[in-house]
Amino acid sequence: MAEGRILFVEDNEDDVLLTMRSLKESHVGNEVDVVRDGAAALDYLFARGEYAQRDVRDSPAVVLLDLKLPKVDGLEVLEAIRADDRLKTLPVVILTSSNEEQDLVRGYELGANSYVRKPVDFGEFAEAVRQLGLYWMLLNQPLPRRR
Amino acid sequence: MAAVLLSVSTILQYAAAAAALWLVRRSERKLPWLCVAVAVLLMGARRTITLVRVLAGDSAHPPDVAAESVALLISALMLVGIMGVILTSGDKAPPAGAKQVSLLLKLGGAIAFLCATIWMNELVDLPRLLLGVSATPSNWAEALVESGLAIVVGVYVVSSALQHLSERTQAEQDLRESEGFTRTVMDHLPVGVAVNSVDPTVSFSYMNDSFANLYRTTREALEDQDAFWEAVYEDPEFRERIKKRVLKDCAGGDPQRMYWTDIPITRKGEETTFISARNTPIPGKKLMVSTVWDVTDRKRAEDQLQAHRGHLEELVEQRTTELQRYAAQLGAANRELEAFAYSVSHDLRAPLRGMDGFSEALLQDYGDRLDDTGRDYARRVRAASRKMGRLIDDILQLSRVSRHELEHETVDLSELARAAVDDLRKRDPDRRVDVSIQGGLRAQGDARLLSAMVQNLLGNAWKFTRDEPDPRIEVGAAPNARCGAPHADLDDDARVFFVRDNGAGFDMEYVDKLFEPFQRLHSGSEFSGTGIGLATVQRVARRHGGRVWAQGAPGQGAAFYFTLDAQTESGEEGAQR
Repeated sequence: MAEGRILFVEDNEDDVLLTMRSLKESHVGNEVDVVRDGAAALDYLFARGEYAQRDVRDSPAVVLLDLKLPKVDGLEVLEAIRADDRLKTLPVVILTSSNEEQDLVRGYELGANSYVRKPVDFGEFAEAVRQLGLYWMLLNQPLPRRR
Repeated sequence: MAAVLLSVSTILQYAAAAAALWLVRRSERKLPWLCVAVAVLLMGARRTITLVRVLAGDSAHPPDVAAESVALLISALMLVGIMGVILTSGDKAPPAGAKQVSLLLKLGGAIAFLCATIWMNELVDLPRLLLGVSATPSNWAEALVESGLAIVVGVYVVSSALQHLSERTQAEQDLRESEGFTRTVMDHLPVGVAVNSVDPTVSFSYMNDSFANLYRTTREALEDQDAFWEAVYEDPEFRERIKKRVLKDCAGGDPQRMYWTDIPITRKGEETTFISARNTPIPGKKLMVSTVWDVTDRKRAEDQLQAHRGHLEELVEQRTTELQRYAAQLGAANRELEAFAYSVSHDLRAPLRGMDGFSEALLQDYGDRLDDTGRDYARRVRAASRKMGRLIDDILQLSRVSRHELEHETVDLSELARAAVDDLRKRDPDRRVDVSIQGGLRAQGDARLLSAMVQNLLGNAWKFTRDEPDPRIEVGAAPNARCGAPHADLDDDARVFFVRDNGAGFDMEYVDKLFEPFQRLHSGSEFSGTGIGLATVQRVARRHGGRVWAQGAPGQGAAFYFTLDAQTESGEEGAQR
């Protein structure tokens, strides 16, 4: 198991619960930090507000990003991440229920690493989460940590 | 010698006489030429008498060579003159002055002959004979002939002169008559005509009534050119302008510029009339013909037309603004719809996942603590949420069909069908279905919409042949008359596509409900489905200008037919699996 935490940006309680359960089922043991809206996500990543004690360079291994978020939209968060020199290489996986092509296109345009549609069917959803977890935490090579 | 001269001159005389007689026949002026003919003939007779006497050897009157030479000359002249007249007369108009020359010749000739006769003293013989002064019987004949000649010549001269005079008067009278005719015509023309001298101090030399009338003034008021402007144009400012313009245009002498149209003639308290005028210089004489004609009707018609055109343009602008507004409204409505579809796609799905996920979690984590009923409940929750998910997808697809802007390209329906079948096979690998797809089914239309349509139709066929032991699906095209269920509103050779299956079929009594959204002819337990697929199929067909219809029988399969009205290429390649 690779090191690193997962930042999960999701406002829907149920989705958070189900995702965490699936990750656990898939034996993805990495720590998962959950934030409920876009503003919190930015505070976390840029180590400000209630996350001021964090180290910016201690960024997660991957961000699972929902699009429809309160306060700050998912795509805006992505834009902010990519705009910052310290965070622009951060892997971001858009995980959304949106089926709209415009979101897909815009996501890639703004530099998302991956776009995954949350299946309605829970079985498929669980499978998707499992695969995501395995891929990003095991298969994918992250950038080495700079201290 | 004299005898020879005599002979020749005699012959010439007779020739001249013949020519003159011919002229008598041809000419309208018979009398003069008759005189000439008779005169010449008599002269010929005279010559003959002398000739006879000479040949008989009469020594009483020896022939005088000088006299005979002169006589020969005269004969020759006569012949030449008459021949000249013959040659120059005819249907062609004689050259100018020809008449005068010929008259002179005739008169001159006659006088010359008269003189010659007198000179030869023979004219005086008759009186002498009559008075018995001196005579020989042989002289009688000569004397008579000569006298006759003189008389005839005299008659000729007089009648010629008289005729010429009468012709002249006749010509003058004809001219005056024709002038009068022209003048009468000009006086009565509905177009105004005036002829005046280019010299500005000289008054009009001719003006017809219409001229004064059209300028709405009197003849007296148009005595001279300055009075013209005053009399015709009431408004002083306009008068100055038009006068300046006309004088400028006339100054160059170029007839092309001397044309003015749609000039208003205003009179206080009366309607304005419009005239057009043109000045035409008469080349060679210092005269100008001024013509003026009324164009009021034309101008009125033009103005009306202009007003109508303006009104029409106004209407068009109004309509355009209206249409633009409607278009904007439509655009706004479409955007609202898009936003709605988007929120549906996102917001409605989220709770479904929760329903599905937690019921599955319930089953997985607490399944052993539930009894069968409890587990069944959980399963039903899952199924319901999945169904709702499909409903959302189908509704979204249906709405996309409506708002999607149609692309127009050549689409291979065979290819779409093959892709749809591949997809179905992948999702349902355990099923064996015999699918035959006619190749080369090309159509003009929107690839995305047609793909949705084909997927729906094949999905249905796939679904409803589930219970069939030997399921078969057929995709193809045929002319309306031979497709299996010809549509009454289509031509026999209209291209009809079809998807047939030998599955569960349906009762034709409910065929109208088939294509309505959410209408199902089977319960959910028999066959799953949202009841939207066929509504989508119908909408796609309609948007392409075509139609769908279906035929089936319970337990005997179903066939769905559709047309896409746009032009299609024929596809007659072999059937494919």
